[in-house]
Amino acid sequence: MADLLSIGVSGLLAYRRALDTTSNNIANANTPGYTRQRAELVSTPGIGAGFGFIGTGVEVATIRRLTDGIVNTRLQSDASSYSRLEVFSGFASRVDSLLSDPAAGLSQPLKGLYDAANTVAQNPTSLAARQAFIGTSETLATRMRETQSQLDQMDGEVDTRLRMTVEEINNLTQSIADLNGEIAFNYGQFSGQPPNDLLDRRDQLLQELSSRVGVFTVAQEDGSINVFTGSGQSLVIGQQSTDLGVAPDAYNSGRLDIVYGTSSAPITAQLSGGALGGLIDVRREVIDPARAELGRLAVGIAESFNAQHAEGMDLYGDLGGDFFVPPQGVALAATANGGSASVSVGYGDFSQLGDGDYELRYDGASWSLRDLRTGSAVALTGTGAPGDPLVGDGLELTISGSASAGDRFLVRPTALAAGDIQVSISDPSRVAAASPLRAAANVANSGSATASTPTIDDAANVDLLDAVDITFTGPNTYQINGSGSFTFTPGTPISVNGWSLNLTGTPAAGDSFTVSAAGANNGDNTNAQALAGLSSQSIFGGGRGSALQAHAGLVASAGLRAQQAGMRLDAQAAISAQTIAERESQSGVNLDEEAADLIRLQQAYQAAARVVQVADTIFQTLIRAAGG
Amino acid sequence: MRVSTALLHQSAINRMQSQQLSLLRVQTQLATQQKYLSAADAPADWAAGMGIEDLLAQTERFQANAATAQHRLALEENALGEGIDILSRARVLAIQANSGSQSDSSRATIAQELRGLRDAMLAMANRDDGQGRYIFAGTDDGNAPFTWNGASLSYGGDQQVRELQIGNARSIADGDAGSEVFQRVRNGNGTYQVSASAGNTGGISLKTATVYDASQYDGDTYTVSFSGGNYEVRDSASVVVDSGAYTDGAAIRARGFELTFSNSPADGDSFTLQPSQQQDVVALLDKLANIVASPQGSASQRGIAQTGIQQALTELDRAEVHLLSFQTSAGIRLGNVEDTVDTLDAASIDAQSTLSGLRDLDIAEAATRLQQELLALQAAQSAYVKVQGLSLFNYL
Repeated sequence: MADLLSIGVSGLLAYRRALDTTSNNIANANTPGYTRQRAELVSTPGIGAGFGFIGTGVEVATIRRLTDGIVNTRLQSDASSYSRLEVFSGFASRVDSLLSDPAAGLSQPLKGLYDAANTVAQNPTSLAARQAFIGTSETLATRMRETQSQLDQMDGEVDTRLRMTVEEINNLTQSIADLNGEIAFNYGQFSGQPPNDLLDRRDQLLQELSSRVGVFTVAQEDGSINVFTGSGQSLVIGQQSTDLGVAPDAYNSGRLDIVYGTSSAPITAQLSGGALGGLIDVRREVIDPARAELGRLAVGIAESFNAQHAEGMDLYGDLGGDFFVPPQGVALAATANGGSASVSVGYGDFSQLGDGDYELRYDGASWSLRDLRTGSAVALTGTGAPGDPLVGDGLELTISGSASAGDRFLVRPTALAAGDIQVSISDPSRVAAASPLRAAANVANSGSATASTPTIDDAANVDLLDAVDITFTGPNTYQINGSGSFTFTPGTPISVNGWSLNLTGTPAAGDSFTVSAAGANNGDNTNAQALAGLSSQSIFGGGRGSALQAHAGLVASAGLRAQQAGMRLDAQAAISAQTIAERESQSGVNLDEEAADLIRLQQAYQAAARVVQVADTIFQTLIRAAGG
Repeated sequence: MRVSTALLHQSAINRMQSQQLSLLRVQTQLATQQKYLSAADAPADWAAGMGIEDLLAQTERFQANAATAQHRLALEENALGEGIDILSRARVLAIQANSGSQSDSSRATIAQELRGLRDAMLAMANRDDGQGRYIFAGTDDGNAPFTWNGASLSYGGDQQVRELQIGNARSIADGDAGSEVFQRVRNGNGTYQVSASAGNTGGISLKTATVYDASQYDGDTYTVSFSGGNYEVRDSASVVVDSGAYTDGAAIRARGFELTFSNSPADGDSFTLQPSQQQDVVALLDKLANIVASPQGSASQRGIAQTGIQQALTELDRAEVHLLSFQTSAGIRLGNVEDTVDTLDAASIDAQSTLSGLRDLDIAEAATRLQQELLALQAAQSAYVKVQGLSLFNYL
């Protein structure tokens, strides 16, 4: 009798618990991170008798979370990859839009520059054309500086977000450590029964942590979980968490490094995955290449324009000065340097210029240069003393002050160059459009030879502008300024004082030619044409071609990065969606299912109640029989 | 596989969002008429487009240069045409003045006109392009290049020729230096010149002066003198190189040159034969005017004047040919520029059509896509509304 009642009561109690669990599921149907739970019913052990074992009812063995550890780990790594790509793709698209925008990009100003140079070639003495040339050069310089400042702002934003993300990571690891404590306590207190909601909460926090930095976890006996970064630094051990921090980098370049705990050694390079990994990748793969390529373009345009401009003559009759202010690279001394040395970075053969940063190191006896992008050493010539700079990869490094052994410098040849580009001349008459020299055939010449404009081989020759008289003493011999006897070979130029003169036709004995400075207000357009011609002239080595091609390369490579990041983000989104669907398939709440469970469990509860009623009826029957 | 209620909602919303993203894309494409919104949409096509844009910009520069060259060459061609007209007119006047029917006063009038032609030629040589740059000054074109000192032109320009680039590795000179055009005309017949001695007393005058064998003429100065019906040709060292009996109109040949004379010489009359020298066109006209204006009262004065006019006419012919050669050269360059303009136009159209193929949106395709995207979004929305209305709880 008592058995019937207790069996019925056990059913009532068990189904009550199961109904509670189902309603908890329904209540949490939309709670993020909630794992559906099920009351696991087991029959209580039967009581043996001569005729066999008789059942004693039902009880709830445990309230089980329907979860799969492997799917959860995948969710974490998906969150890591997705956040990394989301951050990366965001920045890559911004750089892409910045560079390809027809209004904000460099295409129009670049085209304008060469168009204006060409207009000067058409009307070399027109002050309006010269003014327009300077104006468009300024537009280009301004646009380059603006583009650089946009990239610099993005770099600054990366730092800000790095700082914020590190704070979020610290909060999360602290919370996970705290939860570890509670979970271990609960496991202990309730004899190994899982504190489901705390576990859900911790899984949720772990996923949030994964979306900020790549981690792996190791479960412990007591239910707590240890968390490590991808490279093995422990973030949470049991109930203890270790904070990450940010600190200025070794060169105080304005960028932040991530440090671990109380140590000051940076671990930036070792972190990967999550938003933090994404930010670090953005620096290395998006901002650095874009700034370096932009800088190289700026340096290339400035240096090639200056070199060509120096070969011309302005309206005052002076040789062309610097058209753009000559750009300079930057070398940052490591804060730990013991010596007082500083390094100035100039450009030698800028066509050799790479677009990476370098590390310059002094070992006490000699200097060595290492390409930070490839890690390979760069061969250096020279001593670094003024007048004999260290030369390698198109750079000229001049050391001033004295260095101690172990001193390091971060050499950034082009990363910041576009921010400093400026037009040097403002007076339109200073545009050197003309050839500085002119050749004249004596009017009394009887031969048929004519002279073309001399070409400039070395604009720095001090005697360049000196008047030179070439007199033929025979059809194949000539004198220079009335002395010497040189052999004239038709088709071979006559080279004197840094220029070359081509004669076409046949000179006769007694014919003379003079080469002299063109003088002020000259209407020649040779140099303006050469400046306009720089548009298609290959100025960069390594097949990177002309300035226009280098610009197209800059835009295309930024576009390619954004495209690839976008595609990888889409792919990762699909993978993540798949994992989430799997997780939901296992752990998500389906309300129809819960409704069906509700009906099923309610019926079972009613049936159990009925059993109690039957027990009562039987008991009453027995009482009546005994009393009757 | 189980489906959780939250996932059912979330995935429907995600899908609608991605459809709306595609819709936004088509909408922007249709609004901008561009296939790609940034380089990331198609880096290779985008870079190719930039390359073609640069090509187009360069073509436009060449076209602008060609237009400038056309303008300047047309100015030069016109100016040289005028110069040739001046020389033709001078030729007509010289022949007119050479006629025996002219009086001193009528020749003075002709000389006056010739001086006018001389001044017109000088003005033409100093013509500017309307913007203060002188056409025949080379590149030193800020000042009038020629000044007339009463005997010859002096040239203040330079011999540089401005070139304009009208194609890859193709430049065209937009003018010619004035020194080449106006100063480099050799006098006489181009090889030598003949002048009558001022002391001639006979009526003899030069009729023709030609070269029968250029290889024999050594550039020396020769004197042809007449005496007693005979002639003698002496070189600069007074060595007789040829002699014979003089016959009116018969050729005297020596050292590669051939001279014929009209009328009879007096004893002691002589002519000097010198190698040709450069003479400018203005000086030629001035010389002609002076000869025409000179008195022709005696037979000897007439003989000297006629010799001078004979030489001047030869020189006028040569000057005309000289100017004509520059005019032709300008005309040929003009023709070349016009050909290049055609080529550039064709290249520009090609580049534009390639660029359009790379970048411009296929409107029909985009409109169809818009329709499809709209339809898909509507279907997704209506499916969502239907599905989310279903719940077992409705029946409890």
